[in-house]
Order: sequence, then structure tokens, then C-alpha cells
Amino acid sequence: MATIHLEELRKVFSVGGTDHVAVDGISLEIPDGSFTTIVGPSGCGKTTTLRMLAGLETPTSGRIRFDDRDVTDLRPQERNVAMVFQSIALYPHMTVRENIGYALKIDGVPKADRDEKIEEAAETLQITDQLEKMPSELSGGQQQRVALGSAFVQDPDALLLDEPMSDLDAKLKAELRVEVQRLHKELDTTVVYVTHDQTEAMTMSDHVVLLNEGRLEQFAPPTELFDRPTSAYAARFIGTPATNVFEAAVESGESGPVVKGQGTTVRLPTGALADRVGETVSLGVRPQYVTLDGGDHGLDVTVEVVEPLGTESVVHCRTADGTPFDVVTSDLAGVDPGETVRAGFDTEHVYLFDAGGETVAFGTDLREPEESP
Amino acid sequence: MSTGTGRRPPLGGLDGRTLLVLACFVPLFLFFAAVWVVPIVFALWMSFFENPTTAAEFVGLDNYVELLTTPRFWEFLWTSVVYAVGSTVLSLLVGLGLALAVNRRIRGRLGLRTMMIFPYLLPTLIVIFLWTFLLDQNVGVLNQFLVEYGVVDEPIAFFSSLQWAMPSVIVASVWKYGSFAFFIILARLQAIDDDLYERARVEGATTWQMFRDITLPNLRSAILIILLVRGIWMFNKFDIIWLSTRGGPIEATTTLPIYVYRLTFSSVAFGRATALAGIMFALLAATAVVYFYVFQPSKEVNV
Repeated sequence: MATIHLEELRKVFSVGGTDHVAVDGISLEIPDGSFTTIVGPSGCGKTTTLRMLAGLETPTSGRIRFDDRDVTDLRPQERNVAMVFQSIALYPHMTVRENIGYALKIDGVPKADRDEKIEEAAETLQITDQLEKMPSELSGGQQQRVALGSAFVQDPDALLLDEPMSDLDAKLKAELRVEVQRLHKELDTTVVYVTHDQTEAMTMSDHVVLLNEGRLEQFAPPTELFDRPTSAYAARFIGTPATNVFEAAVESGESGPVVKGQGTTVRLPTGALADRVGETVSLGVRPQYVTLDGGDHGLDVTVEVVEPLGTESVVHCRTADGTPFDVVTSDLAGVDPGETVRAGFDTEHVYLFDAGGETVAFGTDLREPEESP
Repeated sequence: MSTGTGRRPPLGGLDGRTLLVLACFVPLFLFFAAVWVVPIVFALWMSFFENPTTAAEFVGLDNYVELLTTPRFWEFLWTSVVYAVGSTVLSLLVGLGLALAVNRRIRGRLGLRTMMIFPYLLPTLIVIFLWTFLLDQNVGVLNQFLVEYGVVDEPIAFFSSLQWAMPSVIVASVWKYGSFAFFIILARLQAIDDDLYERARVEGATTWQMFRDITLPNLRSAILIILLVRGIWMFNKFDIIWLSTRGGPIEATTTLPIYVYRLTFSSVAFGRATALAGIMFALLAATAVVYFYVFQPSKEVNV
């Protein structure tokens, strides 16, 4: 168990004379015993960050501390971490038992103790029957369990997982998500989990680290990330379908400033955004909070595609100027491709982003002080 | 196949497919029969005769018995084993060491890799010129160094002293054939997943433990094949020894192939020469069978 501190962590790769900044000054504190997910699109630096935690990459600058221990310059062998690789990386010439127990064998743990731990791990992961098999005889999900098992027996300060489920099918993913969380509880250790899949990030973690091109975009618990994204990037990355964002402008109305765009007007509480009159902003609203006919505000959108998801459907639409606009609804009456419908939403569900994409106001803070009928 | 109006197969029962197979197979079979089977059978047939090329007289297994009861045969067999095992094991070690070095991201590894192919490409004759020159008693570079730095008082006649002839021939052979092991092992090394080493590092393994537990098991089949194939080739090697020492001095480097040559062309004893070739064949075949049975080199690591 350890709290992991990252201080101004930076990694620059030099390829053929050109510098590529993979991780650009990340500072954060991953709480002891938490399940923290590093999420972001491909190439955002999440795997590089994880590899620096493992010691497989040396930071260009910045420090890494496990509790008070500075591990920045320690080799992987000298850090008490366990890692599960994206490629799973089971030793192909060892049995499952030997694979799980390899770290213990290296540590010089006697065979009897080793076997006891291996069997305990195998039982937790339900692979007891596979112990004497070779990795190539196992299915993808079982191989994944073996990899988790070998991390499990090491009793690490930190368990690092690098997109361990990216090659598995949806059903197995859902199964292993539960398995990983159970493992986290049982191990009582700090877990750092890298994924590009925001669903995994949202469902599994205590904290989410959202990266954007090597920079820290937001570090928050999943619900906060969903409800109060600090930027348009965070709002669009977290949640499916992505948050609808369209251009608008702050104008001065009769009773203070208003936001106008796509034929809709959002009135602001007195005094809010008074200093931004005349600026271009973006309005964001999650598809889940959009209703067809209803809401304080509305705009006309043309239906393009309807994706049924069972209990509800995602309706892909476009606004008058061609901006994509999605609606999640369970009422499909009159919703057909080519039709124009009215998409409504309430002020409290709106995000306002400035021209640079930073959040300037959350709808919950913009509610009219007095709801006059 | 559709029936109905189906064409009658030509040539009474043979369809086009069978004909094609035969057309490809028969010339190949005839070729191998002419250059392999016939000479081998002829050689074995000769080994049962006294003077098989002139006044052939059937003597049964006499040629074999005579050879196996000569002490010299056993001496030459021992020399052959020393040469084959020595040159094979050393070229394996040299190839392994260099392959491990080149497989790491060291400076100049591409140049080293390219240079490694040259000894293998050079004609044996050139290799021998090179080594007899390097190791020459009077003008050789090595002797000059040894004398200059006081390692020895007198220059050593490497290829013509009883003590040094065999080591010298082995060194020249290793220089030429080390690259064989090098390329096979390098290809295998490059097929090992880097993630395995990274996982081992995170699990706390030292460099030696990673070599022992990941690299060696993955190289096992490559090493076993190199030992077997190179071992057989070196056991049968003639040119490199003949060109450097002609089996001397005083038979110190006379291996069985050299002995076969001398029986054939110096003693003109075709019967015994072919019998000796037969014995060598039997020895190698037996070794190979035992080898495959014990080590099972085909038991590959599944990657």
C-alpha cells in the first residue's frame, strides 16, 4: 500500500532528432488504496505514465514518490510494484503455476509457501483447474486471470494494469471488470489502471485521471468528472454518446446577459458572465438530459439515424447549421430519419465553455434565483 | 466431383491431377536416384569387396572387421570427436555471445551483424590462407605479439606442432562457422517478446535470472539444432583440416574423413575406404537418433 505522488512528471522521447513530448508536467496524488484509472485517447501519454510508475521508463524530469520514498531513479526490480501488460506477457514455456509463482521464486520464497500463495490466488481467480496447463492452452480470459494472479501473489505497493482488457470481448470484459475490482478489495493495495475506454474508467474507479496530449485535463472521482467536467474535452470524452457542444455567444439582454446560439436563448442569473458579453462561447449539454419537446430551452434538429439500445435509443441529429446533436430518449413517437424535432433541455444541465474549451459555468450554478411562472 | 457427362480420364484411370503429380515427382525421383541412391548403394556394395574396382573379390564384413580392430581407427575416431565437439561447442558459444550483444541496442550493432556474414561467405581456401598467415611461425601477427609481450620465448608453429595443431584448426573452424550459430540464435532472440523481459524486471528478476529463465528456454530448440547439424557437419568436415594440416603433424589432426581420403587415394583401398564411410554413417545416424530421442529438439516453446 502506498500513496503515489507525481510531481511535475515529464517524459520526452527523441526520435530521429525530433522531440516528442509524451507526458507534459503531470502533478497529482493517487490516494493510498484507491482504484485510480488513467484514461484518455491513444497517444495521450497514459501508458508512458504507467511505465514510469513501474520504472520501465525514466522520467525526463519530475519526481515519483511512493509515500515518502522517492523511487524516481529506482530500477523496476527495486520497486515493489506488480504490472499486468496489455499483451498479457505470460512466460510461454512455463506452466500457469510457474507463471504465477515466478516473482516469488525470484524472491527466494520456499516452494511450499509459494504453492500455498499460488493456490490461494488461483482459487480467487477461479483458475485452480488450469494450474498445470501451459499458457497457450488457455483462453484469452483465462490468460488474463493468470496475469492478474501473478500480480496478486506479489503483494505489491501498487498494482499497475496497462489496458489489460483491450483484446477481450464485451462479455468477458464485463466479467473481468468485476474480478479486478474484487481483487482490489482483497489485495487492499493502490491500483492504477490504464484504459482508453471511458466506460471502464467510470465503472471501476474511485478516481479518474483524464489526460489530453500529455497534460492532466482533470483528476476527479467519476461522478464529479461526469457532472462537473472542467473543459469541453472532459465533457465530450466522458459519457456516451458524447456531450453535445454547439457555438453560442454571450449577449446583453433586458435583464442581464444571455447566451444565444442555434436559435435558443439561455437566460443567465443576474450578474453572471457580465464580463464576457460579446464573447463567443460553447454550450454543452449531455444527450441524456435532452428531451424531445420539453425543457426550458429548445432547438430544432433534423433526425439522421436512430440507434435502439433496448430500453432507450440514441437519436443522432443535426442542427440547422450541421452541428451533430445527439439525444437519448425512450419515446420514439414521431422520430424518423428526415423529420425535424425539437430538442429541449433545462438550464441546470448546461455547461458553458469559453473559446479555449475551459468550463466557465455549470448549469446547476446558473439556475434562475426566482422561478417566476 | 460432378458426374453426369464427365470427361473420361485420359490414360486409363489416371486423371490430370495424378499426371501432374507424377510429372513433377518422377524427374525429381530419378535425379535423386542418380546422384544419391545409386552412389550410396554402390559405395556400400564396394565395402564388401577386396579390390572392388579391379579384381573384385567378395570378402563379406572383412573390411569392417579389419577397420574396427585397428587401434588407429579408434585414435582417428577420438580425434574426430574432439574436433567435432570442440569446434561445434565453441562456435555455439561465440555465436551466442555475439548474438546476445547484437540483440541489445548497442552502438554499431548493424555493422557487426553485417560483418558476421563474411567469414561464412569466404571460401574455405581463403580462410585457411588467412589463418595460416595469422598463425605463421615466422611472419604471423599472433607470434609477433606473443614474443613482443614476452608470453612465449620462441614463436610457436601453430599448425605444425603436435600440441597446437588441433586447437589451431578448431579456432579457424570456429571463426568460419561461428556465424552460422550467430544468425540462427539472433533470429530466435528477435522473436522473443520484449514484454516478457519487462514483466520479469518488474517481478524483480536480475539480468542473469532473465537469461536463465526466459532467454535460454526460448533458445533451447535453436541450440539443440545447431549442436546436431553443426556437429554432424564438423564430424564430416574435410576441407578445412586437409587444407591447413593435411591431417598432420604425425596424424595429430587426422579425423575419419581424412582417413577415408588417405585410404582411397594413397592406399587405393576402396573396399576399406567405403567400409569406413559406412561406419561413419552408422555412427552419425545412431547419434542423431539418440539425440532426438533424448532432447526432443522439436519440442518448441509456444510463443
